[in-house]
Amino acid sequence: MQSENNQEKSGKKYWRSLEELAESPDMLAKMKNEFPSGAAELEVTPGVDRRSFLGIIGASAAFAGMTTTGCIRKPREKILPYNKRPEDLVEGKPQYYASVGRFGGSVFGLLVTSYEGRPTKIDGNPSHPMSLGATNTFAQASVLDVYDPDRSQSVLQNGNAISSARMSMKALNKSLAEAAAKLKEIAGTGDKLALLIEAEPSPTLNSVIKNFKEQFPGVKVSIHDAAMRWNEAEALRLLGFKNAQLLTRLENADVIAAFDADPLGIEGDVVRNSKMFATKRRSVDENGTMSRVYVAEPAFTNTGAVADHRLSIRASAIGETLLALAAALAAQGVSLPQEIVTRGQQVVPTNASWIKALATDLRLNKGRSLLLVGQNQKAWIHGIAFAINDALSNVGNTLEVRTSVLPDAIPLSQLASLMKRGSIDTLVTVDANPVYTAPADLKFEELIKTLKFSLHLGYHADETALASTMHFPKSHFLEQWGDLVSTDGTAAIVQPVIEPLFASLSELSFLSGLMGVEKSSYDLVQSTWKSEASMNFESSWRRWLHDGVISSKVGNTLTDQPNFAGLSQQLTGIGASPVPTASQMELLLTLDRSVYDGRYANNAWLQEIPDTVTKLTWDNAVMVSPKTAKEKGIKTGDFVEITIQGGSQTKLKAAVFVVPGVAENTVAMALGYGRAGFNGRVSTGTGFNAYSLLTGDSHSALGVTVSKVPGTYELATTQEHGVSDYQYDTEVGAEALKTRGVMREVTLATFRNDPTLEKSFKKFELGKKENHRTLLWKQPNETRGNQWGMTIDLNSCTGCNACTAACQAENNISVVGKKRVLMSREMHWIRIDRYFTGNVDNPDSIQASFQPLACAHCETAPCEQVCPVAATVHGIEGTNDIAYNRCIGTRYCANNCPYKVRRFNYFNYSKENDEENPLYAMQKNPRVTVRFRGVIEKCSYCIQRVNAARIEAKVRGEEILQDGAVITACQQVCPTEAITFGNLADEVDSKVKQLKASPRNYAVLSELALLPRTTFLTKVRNTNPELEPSTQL
Amino acid sequence: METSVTLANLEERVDKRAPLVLGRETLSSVTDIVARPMEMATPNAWWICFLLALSGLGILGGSIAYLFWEGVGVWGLNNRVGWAWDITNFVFWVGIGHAGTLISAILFLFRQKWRTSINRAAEAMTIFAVICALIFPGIHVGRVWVAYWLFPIPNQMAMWPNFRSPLLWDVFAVSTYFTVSTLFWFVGLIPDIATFRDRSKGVRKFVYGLFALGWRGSHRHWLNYERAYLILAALSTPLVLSVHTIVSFDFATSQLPGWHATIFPPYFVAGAIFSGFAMVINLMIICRWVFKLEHLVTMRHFENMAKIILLTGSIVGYAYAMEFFIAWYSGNPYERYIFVSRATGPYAWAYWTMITCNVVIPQLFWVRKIRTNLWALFIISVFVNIGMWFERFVIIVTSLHRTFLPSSWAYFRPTIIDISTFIGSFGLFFTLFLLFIRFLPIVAIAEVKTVMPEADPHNHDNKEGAH
Repeated sequence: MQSENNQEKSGKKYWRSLEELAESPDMLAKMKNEFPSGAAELEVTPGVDRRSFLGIIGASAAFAGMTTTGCIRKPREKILPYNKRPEDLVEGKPQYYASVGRFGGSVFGLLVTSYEGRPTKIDGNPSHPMSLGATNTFAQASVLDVYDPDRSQSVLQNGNAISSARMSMKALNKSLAEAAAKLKEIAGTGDKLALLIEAEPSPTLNSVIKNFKEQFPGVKVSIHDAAMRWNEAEALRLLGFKNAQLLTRLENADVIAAFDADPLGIEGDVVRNSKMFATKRRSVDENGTMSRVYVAEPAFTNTGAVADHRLSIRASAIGETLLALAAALAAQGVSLPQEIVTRGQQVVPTNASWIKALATDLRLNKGRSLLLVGQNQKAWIHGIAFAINDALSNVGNTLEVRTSVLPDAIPLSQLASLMKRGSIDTLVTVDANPVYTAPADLKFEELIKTLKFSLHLGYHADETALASTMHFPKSHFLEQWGDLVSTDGTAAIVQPVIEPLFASLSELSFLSGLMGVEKSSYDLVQSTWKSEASMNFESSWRRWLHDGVISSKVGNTLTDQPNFAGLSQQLTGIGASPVPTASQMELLLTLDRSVYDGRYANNAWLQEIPDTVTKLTWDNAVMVSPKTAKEKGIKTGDFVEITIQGGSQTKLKAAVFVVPGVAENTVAMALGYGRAGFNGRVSTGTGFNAYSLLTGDSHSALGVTVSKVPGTYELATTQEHGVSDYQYDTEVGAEALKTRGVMREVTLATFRNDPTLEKSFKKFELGKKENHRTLLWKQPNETRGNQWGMTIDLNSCTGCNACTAACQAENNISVVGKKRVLMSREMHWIRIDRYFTGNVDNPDSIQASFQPLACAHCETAPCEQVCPVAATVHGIEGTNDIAYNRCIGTRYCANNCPYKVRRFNYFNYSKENDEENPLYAMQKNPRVTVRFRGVIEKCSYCIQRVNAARIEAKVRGEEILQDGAVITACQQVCPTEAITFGNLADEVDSKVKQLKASPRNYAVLSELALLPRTTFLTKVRNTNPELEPSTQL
Repeated sequence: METSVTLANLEERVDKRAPLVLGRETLSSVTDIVARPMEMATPNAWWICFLLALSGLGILGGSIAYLFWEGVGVWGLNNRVGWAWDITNFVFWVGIGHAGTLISAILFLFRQKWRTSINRAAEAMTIFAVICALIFPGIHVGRVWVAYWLFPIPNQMAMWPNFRSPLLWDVFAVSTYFTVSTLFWFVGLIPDIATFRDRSKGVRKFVYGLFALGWRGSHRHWLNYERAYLILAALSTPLVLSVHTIVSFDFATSQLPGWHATIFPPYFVAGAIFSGFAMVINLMIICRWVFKLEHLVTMRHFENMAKIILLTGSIVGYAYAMEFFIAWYSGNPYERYIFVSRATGPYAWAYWTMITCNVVIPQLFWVRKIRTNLWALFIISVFVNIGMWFERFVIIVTSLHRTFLPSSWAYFRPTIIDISTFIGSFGLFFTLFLLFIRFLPIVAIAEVKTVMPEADPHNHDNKEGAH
C-alpha cells in the first residue's frame, strides 16, 4: 500500500517514539493515561456491560456503524480524546509496524496495521524472505487472539484465580516473585527440575534458558510442540548433521514429490513454499513449462489437491513406497546406498507404474527435483528421502541442511518417563499445553498432578494451567518484545504494537522473573543483538525494527557429506507393513488446518473457516473414504467408536465425514478439537478430542477398530450443505467442470495443442462476444479513470483459505456460529469453492480443484437492476457498490446473483459477536462500516483501500492510480499470488490487464453477458504422459 | 343438500335460459335472506369461528413481532435461498385475490349475469387476500423500519427508488390493485349498506348511514352509481391481468434458471384465477350452507366456476409442460438442470404435490357429476389451493436452491416461524371474512335483483323466472 511505502521511505519516526515511550518510565505512565491503554482500566469478565466497556474505548470508529439502531435512543458515551497527541499519529490513519511471528511451525515477518494503538490486521512483511508479503490463515486470525475475551487474565493457584479483582502488573510481579522464591526453595540446583518449552527458535529465549541452566544446573529442557520436526531432526542426526533442519527451495524444483507431506498446507514454511511453488505454476502459457507435482498421501492436503498425480495411500505404506522408489531409481542408474536399494528391491509395490514414472521424472530432473516426507513419518523414512534427494543432487539446489536455533532438548515422552520415575518433581511449562496435547498414554495430567511444584505460563487458562500449581498469563506476541529466527536463518525482532491488554508476561520476563532477575524483555532482546550491530547499535536497531529483518543471518548451511551408515542400521527389519482391513483399520491423526494443534480453538474466525477439503466448520470429524464407508455401512453424520487395540484400549466416539481421497480402510481425524478441559466461549462444544487416540510418538496407528454406534451428529459445511451423500460431491464437481465449465481445467499437453484453448472450452462458450449483439442495452464501455479488475489464477491457488481469513480481518466480517452455517448463512465475502472429480470408488482418480469466489463486479450486474431502493449501484470505476445504510434487505439482489456471493445479515451478527466476545470490537477496521442486521454485504474490492490510495494520489495531483497502488486484502495475503487486482484502463499495461489477455483467462458464466470484472485463469495440470491422467479432463 | 329445483338451473337451452335465482324468491325475500346474518343474534358458531380466526391473527401478530425483534433470520432462509415462504405466501395470496376481481369486473363487462350472487363475497375475499399478501413483502425485508423507502416519497435524503426493479413495479401494481379493488367493492356496497341502514337501529344505523354516503336510491343516485361502477369495472379489468403479470416479473425478469421465462405472465394470471376460483368455491359453499343461500348461489354458479378451474388448471398444466419443453429445446444446460432437478431432485416431493393437485385432480371436473357435487367441489378446491401454494414454492425455492454454481447448492427448511406466519395469515383472512359476513351483505342485493324475473321487462311473458 501507498501509505505503507511512504512510511518506509520516511521511516524511523514511529518506532523511535515508541521506543522512547517504552524506555522512560514517566512517558510510560503518560502513555497509560493515553488512549490505547485506556483498556488497562477495563474489567472484562464474562458479565461485563458492553456499553460501559465501549464507553471507554469510545473513539473506536467501528462502533459508529452500530449506533444506527433506528428508533432506539442513542446511549450517552464519552469519548476520551488524546490530550497530547503522540507524534506522527493522525487519527484515522493507520500505522504499520514490522514484527515477526511463528505460525504452525514457520517463522515469518509481519507488518501489523494499527489504528490509534489498536492492532487490527496482520500482514506479511515484504522484506522478510519467509513471508515476502504474504501470510497464512493462522497469522491473519492471530490478531483476533489479542482480543480473545477468554485469554488468561489472572494468576491461578491450583486452578483458581488468586484474587477476584482485576490483576495489576504489580500483583502479577509479586506472584511471580513468590513463585520464584518457591521454585528456588524446591528445585535447588534443579536436579529434579524440568523446563518444558515450545519449539520457539529465539536466540534471546535461548540465552535466557542458558542463564536458567546456570542457575539450575540440573534442569532438563524438553520441547513439546506440534511443529517440532523430531523425525526430520533425528534423520539428520543419523546422517551426521547435528541439530539441523531442512530448508526447502521450491523455486528451483521442477518436479516435486510429496509423500504424506504438506509443504503448501500446514507443514513447515508454507508461506514461502507456496510463494516459490507458485512461481513455477503461474508462469504457464501455451509453450511455457510448469512444475509437476506428485503426491502420495493418506488424506487430502493442500499439496495433494494441487497435485498433478495423486496416489491415495495409507500412511504406513509411505516408507515401503519410498523404498520401492529408491529401488526404481537405482534400476535407472541412480546410485543410492546399497542397503536402501536392497530393501527396496524386496518391496513389491502396489503402484509400480506410478513409482516408475515418478522415478523417471525425478532422474530426468536431477538437481531440479525435490522429494519431501511428512513430519508424521518415521526418521528412517526421512533418511531415505534425504538419500534420494542427495543422489539426485537436489541437496544444495532444492533442499538445504541448515543449523537449527532450537536448544538441545528431550521429547515429551522422555520427560514423562522421568516424571513417572520420580526423577522430576518440579516443572516449568512455557507456552506448551501438554495436558491437552500430550499422547493419551502418557497420562500427563496425572503426572503433572503428582509433581511437588509446577508452573505454567500460557495465553489461556487451559488444561495445563488448571493442572499446574501456578499459572501465569502470557502476553500476546503483539504485546511483547522478542526475536525469532526463520528456517533460512533470517532473524527478526518481535515488536510490540499495543500495551498488554491485561497484566501478563512474555516468556522472557517470566523465565527471568523465575530466576529473580528483573530485566525487561526489551533489554534482553537488545543485549542479544548488541554484538550483531554493524557500527552504531542504535541506528542498526532502528533499521532492524523498521525493516523487520536483521541483516545478518543466524546459523549456516551445512554442506557436509551425509553418512548413511547410521541410517542403514535403522533399516534392519524394515519390511512391508500390514495392510489395514475393514476390521483392523488404520488411524491417522493430523494437525488441523483451522485450529492447528488446538491452540487456535478459541479463535472464532478460524473455527468458522471452512476446511480446505471437507469445507467443514466448527468441528473435526472421522474422515473415511466413500468406498470404506460403503463397506462399513456408515455415512456422514453417523457416530462411530474408534478403539485402539493394545494396552490402553482408548476409545473415542466421534462423527463420521465421508470424503473422497482418504486411503482405503483408513480413518483420518484432525487434532485440536473437543477441548473439554478448557472452557473457552468459542471452543466449547466444537468437535472431538482426537488426542485421546494419540499413543506413542506416531500420529498413525494400525489395527484400530471402528464400529458404528447409535446416534447422529450435525456437521456444518459451507458446501453441499446438509447433503450427506458423498456421491453428490463428485456429481457437483462433474457438473461444475464438465457440464457448466464453471471451473476450467486442462492438461498441459492439451494446452500446448490448443494454445488459445478455444477448442477445449468451445462447448461452454454459449455467450461469445458476437452473440451479444442481441443485448437489450448498450454494453458499458467505460475507459475513463480507474477501471478496477481482478484475475484469479486457478493454477496456483492451493485452497489455503488465507484470502478468506484476510478478508474477514480487513472487512469486519461477522462470525455466525455453527448453527447458522448449518443453515447456509456463513458470511465470508470470499469463499473457496472446492470441486472433486473422479470416480469415488477409485481413490487414486479423485482430484480436487479450488476456485476462490467473491463478488465479480459485473458490468451488467443483475443485482443492481433488481434492487428496489438503489442500494447497490455501479461505481464509476466499475465496482459494484453497496450503500449499506440504504439497503432495506429485500435479498432480491442475492437471489439474482448468479455467483451467489452476496451475504445477508439475517440477525444482528456484529452486535452478537461483540456481546459474546466483548473485546472483538477493538479489532474492527475503522475504515469499513460494521454492518447492521437486515442488510446485504459482499466483496467491495476493498473499496476502503481504493479510496485511501485515491486520496494519496489526489494529494500528489494524480487521477490515475499506479498499478500496485491498491492491493486488496485477499491479494495481499495470497501466498501463491493467485489474485491480481488493478486498473484495466491503465495506459501502461497493468499486470491485471496483461493477465486478462492470456488465453487462460475466462469469465465464469460468460454466457450470461454479465461482463464480470473478476475473471479466472484456467487451471493446468501438468500430467505425466507415461501415466494415465487421474481424471479425464 | 340439493333439491331438484336447484339442479334444474343447470339446463342450458337455447330457447329458454335457466333462472339464476331459484325458489321463487321475491325482491323482498332476497333482501331478507341477505340481511338475515346481520340481523340475527350472533350465533355461537360465529363466535367459535371468530375466536379461532382471532387466535390465528394472534399467531400472525406474535410471529411478526418476533420477526421484527430478532430479524429475518427467524425464518429458514439462507444466503442461497433468499426468498421462500415469505414470497410464496405473497404470491399465493395475491393469486387468490384475482378471482374476485375477475368475477366482479371482467364478468361484469362481459355481462355474465350469474356473477351477481357471488361477486360480493369474491370481492371481499380479494381485498382480504390482498391485505394478507401485502403483509409479506412488508415484513420480509431486513430493515422493516425503512421499508417505506420502497415508495417514491420525496425526502430530504435525496433518495429515490430504482424504477428498473420489478419489486418496485410490484409496489405500484399491488397497491393500485388494492386501492381499485377496495373502491370497486365499496362503491358496489353503497346501495346494500343503505338497505342495511334502513333495516337497522341505533349505533348500527349511524355507522351504516355513514358508509351509505347518504344513499337514497334516487334515480340520479342510480345513474351515478352505475356509471361509477362501470368505470371502476373497466379500471379493474386490466388490473386482473397486470397485477399477476407484474408479480411474475419479479421472477421472469431475473436471470435465474427456472425464473427467467417469458411464459410467466400468462401462466401466473391463469394460475391466479385458478386458485382464486378454488377459494371462492370453498368460501361460497360454506356461506351458502350456513346462510341458506341455496336459492341465490345455485349449483349453476358452482358449475361455472368449476369449468373455469378446469380451464385455468389445464392452462397451468400446459405451462408446466411447456416449461419443460423450452428447457429442453433451448439447449440451456442450467435451465435443463433446474427442471430435471425439480422433478427428480431434493424437492421432487413438492413438485409432484403441485402436479397432482394442479394438473391431475382438477381434471375430475370433466365429469359433470363431480363438478356438481358440493363435497367433491369443496375437496378438489382445497387441493387446488394446496397445489397453487406449492407451485409458488416450487418456482421460488427449487430455482434458488440449485443455481448456476454447483458449489452454492443448498437446501431450505422452514422454521416454526415460517409456518406460524403462514397459518397466522389465514387467521387474518378469516378474521376479516368473518367480520364481513357478520356485518356486510355477502350477496350484492341490488345486483341480484337485476337478474331476477321481476327486473325483466318481459317478466310477465315468462312466469317461470328465466331472464
